[in-house]
Amino acid sequence: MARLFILLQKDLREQIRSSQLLIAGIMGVFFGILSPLSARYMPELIALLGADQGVQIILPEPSVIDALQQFVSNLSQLGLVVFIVLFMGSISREDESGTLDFLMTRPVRPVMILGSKVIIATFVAGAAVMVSALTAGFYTNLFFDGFRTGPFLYTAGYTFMYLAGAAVVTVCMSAVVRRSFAAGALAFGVLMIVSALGMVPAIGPFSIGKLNEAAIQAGLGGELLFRPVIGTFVLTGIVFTAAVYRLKRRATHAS
Amino acid sequence: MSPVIGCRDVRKRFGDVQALDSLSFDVPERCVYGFLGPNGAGKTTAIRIMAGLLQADEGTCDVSGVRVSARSTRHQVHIGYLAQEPRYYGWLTGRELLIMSGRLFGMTSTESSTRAQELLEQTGLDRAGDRRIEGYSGGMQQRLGIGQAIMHRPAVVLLDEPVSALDPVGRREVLSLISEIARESTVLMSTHILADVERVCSHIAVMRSGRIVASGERDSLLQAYAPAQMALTCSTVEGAGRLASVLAKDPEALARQDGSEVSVDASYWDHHQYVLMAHLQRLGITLVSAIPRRASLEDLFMHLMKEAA
Repeated sequence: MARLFILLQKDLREQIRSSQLLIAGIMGVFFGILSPLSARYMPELIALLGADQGVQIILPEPSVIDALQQFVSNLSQLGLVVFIVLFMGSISREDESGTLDFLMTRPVRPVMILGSKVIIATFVAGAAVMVSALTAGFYTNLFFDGFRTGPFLYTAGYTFMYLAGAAVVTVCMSAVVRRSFAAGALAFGVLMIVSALGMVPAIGPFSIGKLNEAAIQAGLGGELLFRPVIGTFVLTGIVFTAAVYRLKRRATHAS
Repeated sequence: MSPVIGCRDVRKRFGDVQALDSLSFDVPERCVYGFLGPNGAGKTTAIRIMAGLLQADEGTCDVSGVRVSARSTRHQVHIGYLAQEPRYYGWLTGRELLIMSGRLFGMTSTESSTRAQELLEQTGLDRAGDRRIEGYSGGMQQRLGIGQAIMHRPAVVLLDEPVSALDPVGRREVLSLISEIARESTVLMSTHILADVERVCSHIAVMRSGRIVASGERDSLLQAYAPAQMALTCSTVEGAGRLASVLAKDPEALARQDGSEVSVDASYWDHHQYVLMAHLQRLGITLVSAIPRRASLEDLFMHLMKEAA
């Protein structure tokens, strides 16, 4: 455990000094402001654009539901891309640059190297969602009536789960392939396929993509869904196991 | 002396290339062991297997009595490793890297800090220790690399081409450092720079095509394999050139020109000195001196390469 702690210190230091934590935080704040703001003023903007062209557009009055939907979709779509870019080089960049050899010649098991990266990626996702939720909560409460903190915390929790799951998949894919860009593309592909499985009746409710629906539903005070949480744990467990296996096999095949 | 490294019948293949082919050798304790060979001989592959970074297809390697395996970490504590092109975390300082390395080897925080300071001084990096590694020159990174390799006082230090990328000053510094390390640990270094081996290595193994063609104490090998030489100094470089081209036609002469000197195999000189004199007279070359000299490592290397070919 002591060695894992040292690796965690190293990986956290990297996140801070390479500004990745800062980028994730800025992204969180940006989407936190953008989501309620766009929900509040988008109908007015659209109406104004229509008026310029002599068309009268009547849109329903924006509500807290719109702000909630904007928050979830911004983080789960644009946030996903940012997270893939941030974490696609976690292991592959170390492999390319040769620093992985530095770690592999210490009494450190591959599971620890990967475990540390996964924990730090989860932490960064948590920090980003936290600042985003704080900002979004503040502005949603400012612009809309009927904002409820309790259900919104569930929304933030599900969104965190989604981004952390995506970050973990990306970190693991970066151990599976040796090039960062390929790792990013592979992670995106895996997440898209698993999300698409959400349409299959038997396994669909367990898809990581269903976390976004669960986030909105919980934010509206609806029932909490546990199956996508279980599915996300299973998915991350599978990719983690595959990545550890790949890292162990690296020594047999590397030139 | 009992061997601190023992490799037996190690084989490694990458696709169609047999990188190592029944590699066997022993390294005695507390020596600087030079792994010599042309590019592609398999030196790096052998070192990576010894460091546990690669798994051999067949055969075994033991370091300090512990079996090395890429699937285990038990051997790591006995080994310090410096890669051919060492790269470290640019966002860490040299001191932080050394401390982290020590902590990963199970040293306490205080032990690591004290040892890191000691090594920064020993490697001449004490003033740059708190600077980020991304700002280090190639020579500084190499010295830091040696520092991290000996941080935990390993029994064996594996150095893969430790000086090949350095300028003459850097090379000199690193070679002195290697001699110092050998007081505490056994050093195995790969290189193709013969002068470096001549300077620091007490034992050598010569590799070619994944096999060891000769190994043992350097001086014994020189005596056993490299024929004694006769150094013929001509009055002009041009004369030496003409003599060398005539002798090149006779492979037994093993003639090699270096400036105004032409060296030939000593036994060739013994048997053909009258022929040689006749050549000199015919070509109008004045011989200044003819001095027997001990064979150099280069002679040994060339001899072994020819023999293996």
